[in-house]
Amino acid sequence: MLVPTVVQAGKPHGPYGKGDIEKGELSVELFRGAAVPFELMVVPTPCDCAGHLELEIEWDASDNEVEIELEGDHGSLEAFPDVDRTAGVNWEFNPFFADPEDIVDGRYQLWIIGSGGPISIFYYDPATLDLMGSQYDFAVPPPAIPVFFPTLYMVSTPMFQPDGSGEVDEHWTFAYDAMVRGDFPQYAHHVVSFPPPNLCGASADRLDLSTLRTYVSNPLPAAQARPFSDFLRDGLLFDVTIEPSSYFSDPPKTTTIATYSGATAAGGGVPEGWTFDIDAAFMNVAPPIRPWPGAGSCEPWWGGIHTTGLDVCGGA
Amino acid sequence: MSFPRSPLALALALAFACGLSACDAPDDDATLDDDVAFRKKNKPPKYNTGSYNAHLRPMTTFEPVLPASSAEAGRARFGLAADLETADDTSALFQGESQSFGGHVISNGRTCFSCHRGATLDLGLPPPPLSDTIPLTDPLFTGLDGDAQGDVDGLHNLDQLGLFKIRPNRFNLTRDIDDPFRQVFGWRKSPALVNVGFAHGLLTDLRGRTMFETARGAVFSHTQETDGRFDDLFAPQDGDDIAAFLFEQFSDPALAALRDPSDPGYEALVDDPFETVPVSTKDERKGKKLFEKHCMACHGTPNVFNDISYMEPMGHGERPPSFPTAAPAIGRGYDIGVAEANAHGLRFTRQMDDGTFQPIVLPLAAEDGTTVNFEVDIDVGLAATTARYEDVGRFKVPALRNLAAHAPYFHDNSVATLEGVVDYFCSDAYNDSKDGSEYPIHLNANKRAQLVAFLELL
Repeated sequence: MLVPTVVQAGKPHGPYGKGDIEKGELSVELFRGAAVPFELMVVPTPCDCAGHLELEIEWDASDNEVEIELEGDHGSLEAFPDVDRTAGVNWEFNPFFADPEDIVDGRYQLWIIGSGGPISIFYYDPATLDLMGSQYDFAVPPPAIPVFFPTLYMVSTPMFQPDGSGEVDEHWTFAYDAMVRGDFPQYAHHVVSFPPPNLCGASADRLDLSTLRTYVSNPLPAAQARPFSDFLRDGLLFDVTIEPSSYFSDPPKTTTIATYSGATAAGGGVPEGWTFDIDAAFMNVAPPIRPWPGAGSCEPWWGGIHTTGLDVCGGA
Repeated sequence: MSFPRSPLALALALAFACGLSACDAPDDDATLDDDVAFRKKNKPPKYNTGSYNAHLRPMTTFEPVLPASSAEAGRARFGLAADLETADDTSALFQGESQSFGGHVISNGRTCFSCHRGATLDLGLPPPPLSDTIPLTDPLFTGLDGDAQGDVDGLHNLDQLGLFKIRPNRFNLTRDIDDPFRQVFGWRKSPALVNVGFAHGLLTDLRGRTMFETARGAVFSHTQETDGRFDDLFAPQDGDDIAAFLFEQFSDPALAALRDPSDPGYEALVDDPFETVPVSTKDERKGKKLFEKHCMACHGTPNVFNDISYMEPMGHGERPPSFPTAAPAIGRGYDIGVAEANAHGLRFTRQMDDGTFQPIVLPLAAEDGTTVNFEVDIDVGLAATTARYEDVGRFKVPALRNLAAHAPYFHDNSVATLEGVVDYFCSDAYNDSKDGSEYPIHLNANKRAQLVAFLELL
């Protein structure tokens, strides 16, 4: 009884999907800045940033296949990109998401992100109230203050390069029942959250005013891979990152360098020039999109660390 | 604001605005056929998806009742006595010291019951004027500023029209108090809550994803005049209990099976959309066929007849109802022209402290990313919480059971009778509307009467 809904009126101009959890397809355009959490730098793209990418995903549980196509016209991306960042200006070291400051002869990777991961435990030092890690870092819970935060989870395609003209034409196949990293099939997804690095800098009632930083777990083993149905039900985010020419860490993670991104987690997706409102998502308030501050220019854009200054401990 | 119309359609719309609705036209099938042919030839451009989610699916599954919840506790939190008819606020006032609020919250005496009265009224309100049946000393009136916040139209719109002032983003603290999204408001009815357990998206504009956040928002707004939140006074258990109570309120006990796929009666209700509708007369049978042909594209949930498109807000179940994952909206809303018609002539400008009125201009995202600065002169509906231009005027498709007892109709109580509702759906205001134009309806007087006969059965 599951039939297409959105496509009944013809192909919409925005993201659309048809089918159901078992078999279907969706199409979404990826734009600069559409879905970038804080601390990600969005790089300029060729042709005065006029390009975008087209992402199409088809899935069929009975064939155990998820087909992903990523396409972009000439000038969508620069081959072997270099990225030069400066600490304190457009990059900050993050012990829970370590990535290289600069990149030479980089490559690209598409991340498929499920926006509704489990509420997970993060551990804080009882003396300093500093973040120690999460349940994904400790086989045995440490003597610590456990705090619960919502999570996302993400898995990547293999690395890719545009051709010499900047055209992108990539096609990957994943197993529907177990989404593993395209470049390391022994690994499943990473768990992502945005916990405060210290509990004094956060208020559960005002996450928008809290100091929050990105946490990315090591990839979980392939045995814990999620089916694609989980990603579909949770709502999807997409991000094309620039990665170093050789892996920065073992096991591999990713970087805070973004090109094009998009989402179907917000109904109707995120139009060009707008961005998914992470504060609104954290605090469960609407609307879910805002104008993207980097729109209209073709400069590097960095969201910075999410707010600093709140001190619920009163300076003690 | 404007939506594309053909010149003739515009002329027809103007005629309607002048009181010459198409429903006053002669019942000449040839004329109707000509109109249908014209509309087919001159269909408006396809509208974009707005907030329609790529993951929307037709589903006969609904928000579950959580195992640890108590319907009885939920009834008490709701403010309803055990007789299901009278008020009992013993456990229903949310007040006290709140760290979230930053002080002491003092209740204004309103409870959920204040706007959703007993079982006889299907947990709704009586028809206006409300003061004909509810004394002015009732918290419904004395607590008026819990939502109206001093608005000069507040008392008139509540008493005479049965409408409440609703600011959908009132408690979004991430935006400045002067942000147009925090200030934008609508005048909305308090719908009957019977069968709310079948809702695919809650509240008249679909902005409620789960009963938890819907009930919490209601408590925030009916307790106090400020825009402060007091999340710590409304525990997840409160929301779960209220959901457990409301999700067992059915217009017909047989409908309960539709909420439970393991129930022996579930398949029958899914397979036969009219399993619980006792059609008997010739007019009712014909009305049923008309309903199937003209109404079920939107009122498609079997035996309940709201919209069936849905996206589960809990993803695959790893999030609690107090923290759903999907951004609004999780159901499918439609603009059928009711907001644009603004039959009561409601005001949508912001009342300033000095008594003047200022326009509210919402920056809305069009599908191509351009920003439409929309000066609010109608109830923008779903757009207030999605920031999508294509969602202007979109509202939830209500369930239709026990419909005859729920007058007046539409989100703004703008139509008094079922006959008026059917006439509206045959009017240019509907047929030229953004989403109504995709599902045009033209019925002569005889067919309208048959459709009304069927609707009265529901």
